[in-house]
Amino acid sequence: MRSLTESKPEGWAAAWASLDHAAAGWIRRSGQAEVLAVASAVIRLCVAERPRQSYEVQVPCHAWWEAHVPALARWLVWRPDWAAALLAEAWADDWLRALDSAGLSLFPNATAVQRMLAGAVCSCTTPDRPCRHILLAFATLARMADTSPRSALRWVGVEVEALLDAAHAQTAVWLQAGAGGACGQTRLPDAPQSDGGIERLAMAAVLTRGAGMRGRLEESAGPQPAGALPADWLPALDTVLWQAWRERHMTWAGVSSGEG
Amino acid sequence: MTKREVKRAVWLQGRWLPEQGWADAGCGELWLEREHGRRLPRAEAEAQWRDWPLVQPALAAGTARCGPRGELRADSAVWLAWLCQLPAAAPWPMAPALSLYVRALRLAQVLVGVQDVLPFAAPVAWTWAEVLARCGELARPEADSRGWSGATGLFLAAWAPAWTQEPLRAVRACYAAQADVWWPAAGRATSAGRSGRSLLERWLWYCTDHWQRPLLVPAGESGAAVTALRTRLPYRGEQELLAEWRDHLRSCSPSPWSGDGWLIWRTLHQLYIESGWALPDLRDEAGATRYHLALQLQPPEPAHPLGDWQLVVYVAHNVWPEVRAPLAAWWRQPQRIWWIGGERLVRPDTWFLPRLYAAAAEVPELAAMLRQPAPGSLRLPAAQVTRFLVVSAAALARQGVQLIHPALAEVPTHTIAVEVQVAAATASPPADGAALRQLPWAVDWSVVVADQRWSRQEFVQRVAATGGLVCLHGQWRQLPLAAICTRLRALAGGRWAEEVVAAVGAGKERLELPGPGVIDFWSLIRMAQTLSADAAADEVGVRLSFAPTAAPLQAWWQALQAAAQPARLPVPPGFAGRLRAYQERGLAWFWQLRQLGCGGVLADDMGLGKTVQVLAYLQHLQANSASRGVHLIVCPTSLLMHWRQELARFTPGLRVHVHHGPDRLQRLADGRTRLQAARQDAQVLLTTYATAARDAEVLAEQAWDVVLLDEAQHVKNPYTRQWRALHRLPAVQRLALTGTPVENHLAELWSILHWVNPGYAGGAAWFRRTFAQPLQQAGDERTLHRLHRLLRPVVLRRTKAEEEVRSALPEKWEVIRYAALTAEQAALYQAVLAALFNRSTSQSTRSRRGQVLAALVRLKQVCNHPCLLVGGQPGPERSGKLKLLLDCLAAVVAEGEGALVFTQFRTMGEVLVTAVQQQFGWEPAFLHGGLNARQRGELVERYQSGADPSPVMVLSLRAGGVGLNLTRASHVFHYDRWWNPAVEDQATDRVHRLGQVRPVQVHKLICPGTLEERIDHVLTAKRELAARVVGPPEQWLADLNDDDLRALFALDWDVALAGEEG
Repeated sequence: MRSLTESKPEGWAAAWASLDHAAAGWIRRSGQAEVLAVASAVIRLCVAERPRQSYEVQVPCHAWWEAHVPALARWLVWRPDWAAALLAEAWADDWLRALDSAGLSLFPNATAVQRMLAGAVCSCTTPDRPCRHILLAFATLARMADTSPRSALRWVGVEVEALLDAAHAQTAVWLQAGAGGACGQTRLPDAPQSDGGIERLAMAAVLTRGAGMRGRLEESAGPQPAGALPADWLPALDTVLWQAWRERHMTWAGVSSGEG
Repeated sequence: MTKREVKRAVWLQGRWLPEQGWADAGCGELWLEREHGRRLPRAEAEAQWRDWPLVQPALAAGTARCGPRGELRADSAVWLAWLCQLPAAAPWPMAPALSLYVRALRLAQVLVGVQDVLPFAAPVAWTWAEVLARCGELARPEADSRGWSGATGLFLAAWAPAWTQEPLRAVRACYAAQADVWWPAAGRATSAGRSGRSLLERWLWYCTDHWQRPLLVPAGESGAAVTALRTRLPYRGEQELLAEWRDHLRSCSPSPWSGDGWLIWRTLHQLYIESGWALPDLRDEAGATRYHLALQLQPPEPAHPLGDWQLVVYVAHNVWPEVRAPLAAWWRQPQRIWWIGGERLVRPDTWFLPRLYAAAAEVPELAAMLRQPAPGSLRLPAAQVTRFLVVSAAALARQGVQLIHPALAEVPTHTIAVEVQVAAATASPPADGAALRQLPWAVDWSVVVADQRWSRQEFVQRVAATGGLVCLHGQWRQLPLAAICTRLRALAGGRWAEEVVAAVGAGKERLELPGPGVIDFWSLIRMAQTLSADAAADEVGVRLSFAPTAAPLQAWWQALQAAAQPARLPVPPGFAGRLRAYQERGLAWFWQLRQLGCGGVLADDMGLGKTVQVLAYLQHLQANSASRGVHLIVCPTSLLMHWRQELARFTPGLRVHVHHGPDRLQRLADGRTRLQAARQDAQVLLTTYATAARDAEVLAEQAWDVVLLDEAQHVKNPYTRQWRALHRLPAVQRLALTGTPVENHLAELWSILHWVNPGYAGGAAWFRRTFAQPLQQAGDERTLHRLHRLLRPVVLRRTKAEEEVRSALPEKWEVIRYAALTAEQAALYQAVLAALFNRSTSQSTRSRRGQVLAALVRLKQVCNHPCLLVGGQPGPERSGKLKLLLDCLAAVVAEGEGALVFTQFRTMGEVLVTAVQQQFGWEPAFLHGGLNARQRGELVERYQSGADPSPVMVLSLRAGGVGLNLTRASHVFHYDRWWNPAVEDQATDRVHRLGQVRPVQVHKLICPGTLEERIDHVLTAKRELAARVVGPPEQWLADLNDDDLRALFALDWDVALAGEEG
């Protein structure tokens, strides 16, 4: 599996930029923290200090995509290879590019990490914050997110199985509506307007066959049949409408497209 | 409503209700219900039970009773016994939930039947859920005894399924999925199991245990499974524990017993780790361990053979591959649950999508398919199918994806033929043989496979579209493109005009095929002769088809093929001889070739009468007024005399002129040269190779009818002036005679063929490449066969070994060979004669006789070799007879036969030995009077056994004439004559005697125009007289008067001399 954190050294690595030697050694020796649950935009982990001595750490998620699940599921209807990659725990480059183009990133930047550090809670009594338990928790989350798309999605509140269930259900509905053969020659029904822009823009990003993006923005009809993302497609997501929407809905406000 | 009607509308339903404790079997219930789960009223149900024989005994005994809602409840053992007899014993149909219990108990019976069982023990207090969980843990290598260890406790023993067999696991999975669906709905959820599949496992355990217990026999085998552990020191108490455990496993009324938990755990761990419990199968609900991906390649409809192929993706069972479902059906499922073959798979995409993803990484077609929504199949253009199979099959196999495709066997090459279509390239071709040869011919090809024919364009198009896949008789097969291409390129031989490049499918492979073209006559004939032979099993056949415009060519070609079996001709009038059957065929063959405008090579073995056949042919031409000019015969100098004699003997009616000697171009009185006069007056011109080379210009001035080369191997080198000169001679027909076996000297053969029929044998390089090199290197049968096909119409060769010839040959026959005298010999001859006749008139009878006899000897010596008389070099250039003998021996040796050379002069014998050694490199043995009996015996023995490398032996006539067996030889040469034929016959009999298997040829070398010839005539005429002569044989010669003597001895210069090369 490739390491994506290497390309974004300012992301997770920001968490231990100022780590001292002893703490770093301890983190390396301690292995992994155990993830207990992810709910309500908080990740709960159990860190074992010694046998029979463990602490609970709570880390706020850098993003919460629960509302985007239907739209993401719709992506997977049109791109079953992305679903296959998720199940295979493989990173699909064009899926990451599509996420990126839609202004979504699975990985927090330095600012988001600092915010997460500030909001992290540990049940230990050490006065230092962040304590080494919190840092071990971060290291665990980073390592797991780096190698497992399933984990990376979980840290933003998306359970892969639920996502796939939704995608599969949508596929069946679409086929039931008379889509014909498995090669998808007809259009999807109109997308639910739950969050409007993300779905419309994301689906357009996935489905456009070289046509201009701006034309698609004005379309109210559903997306066109699937095609490969053109290699030279450039996101024209610099409208005022887009920026405002991102500031309202993204958890790291103020970050421009492509960095997230 | 009658009882029957009630029964028809009713289902038998049931459930099992085990107790809390894992080994408490509890009880089972049966009840009757109508549709939608409505139970029959209690009274009605009870009435049914009472009427049902199956349950009456239990009801009567009190082991079964009716419940408050009309259900029939009994202990598990009784209930099990009832289920064993269902559905046969039930008057109502069974509900699916109940039928699952019945099917599961049959599975348990199979488990016991194959003994796929393991012993088990667990604390009494455990629930079923705990037991199930522990079984999974036990089988893990890293399991620990947590939960088992500690103090002793009360345990219960039972038998459990081991699940080591894949088909049984597959059935279990199927039932488990069905149980999940039906059993919770069948009744209240029991606390004994959280799910239907848990209940199923428990039911299977119960049934297994029920049937396994009674099977155990006491001594030895019962504890076999338990005690099958590695040899080691037993723990304290282990033996007792195992013994007690064994007893409890056998008992039909199991009860708790006290045992050490850790020991029990240890034993179970070692057993279960090798059982089916260690496999992920038992926990696999998605089907990853029981199913696989399969791709099926489906060809297009036969009506559209160039259409696209379909690659359909299936999920298929590992054990029963026919249990499968297309991937396209998966996407239509409303949830991520898929029923395949009676089994429910939960979220199977967790394994098949990743496998498809991994396969797509190596197979681009799959990657493209996976990028489409709801993928399930993809279209594969026919052009890509072969490449897909070749490239992707291995990749798919590596990924564990099965690829199912038509066998695509190769079409057997022997069912394929290339048809070469020949048509005239000009408007209206003539029918004349000679004119046909000047014309170009248009050729094109098509491919015939079974009953389908594709023109060149269609074939190329098909190859590009499908990569060579064809549908024959409903089966898809692959054409062997390489074999077809090889055959086509061999046909074209690089001489056709264009080349067509056909792309094979969608791959980079390109086939270079010949396009339509125009070729010359001889190339076409050569192709037809060499390649339309029956192909070998691994070769594509070739057929020729002639368009109507090429009908004359077809007729000509067929006539050429029939030339080897010509229609018989009668012996021509004017021919003074008899022809044997095979010689008549040779005559007819010459004539047949002439009709076709072709020449020929007569390559019969030595002694079969090639000369006679040619002379008969010339006489035939003359007699039928078919001659179109003067015939020219070119031969080696040593045979000039031979030809002259033979012509005079067999065709006395033909006017012959010998073009040889220094005055051959002399001007006559009327201003013409001798040659010009001969061209007008003579019918046959004889000349030598050397003379023909010198007089090439003159000889080429006018056309000849038949030009014949005797001993044509003399012109084997096509780069000599001699050969070029002969090639320039215009002729109506060219013939060649050669006696050497043709296969051994292919380069010579080409040279001769090229002279006889220019173009017939192709270029020298082509001939060498096509025949000479392959035959020299490997002796390829096929190439030999092809060569024979090419040669057969224009080369006629019979050997002495052939039946047709053997039956016509006598066992022994004589051939007279005429040898010319050299100038030196002639001069010496005259000198001896002069010396004789100048003295004889004044001598007495006695001295005269002595002088005559002396002169006779000297004359004979002169005819043999001048060095016998005057000394000097003993080389063949001084004696025509010696030259002739060496030529004849060369032919004999080339045929692999042996020869004896008899001479009456010992010194001549020595000359012969020297000459033979210088010519051939080996020294022949010389048997003469100077050897004693032992030495003679050794020589004979060495010769006869083959130890002597020389196949030639020289013998003195008198010494070698008696009592020797020399049957290794089949030729006898009488170098000089012994006037008594009986003595000569005796010499011949050294060879022609019992033990000789070959016909024997006796060669008598005679110098014509000398005494040898005349005495030979006398001897032949007066054979009986000669046979009675008892005294010294030459006595009667000496008794002749002078005039007779002069007549006998005189030298006929014209006849005797071949003349020097001038």
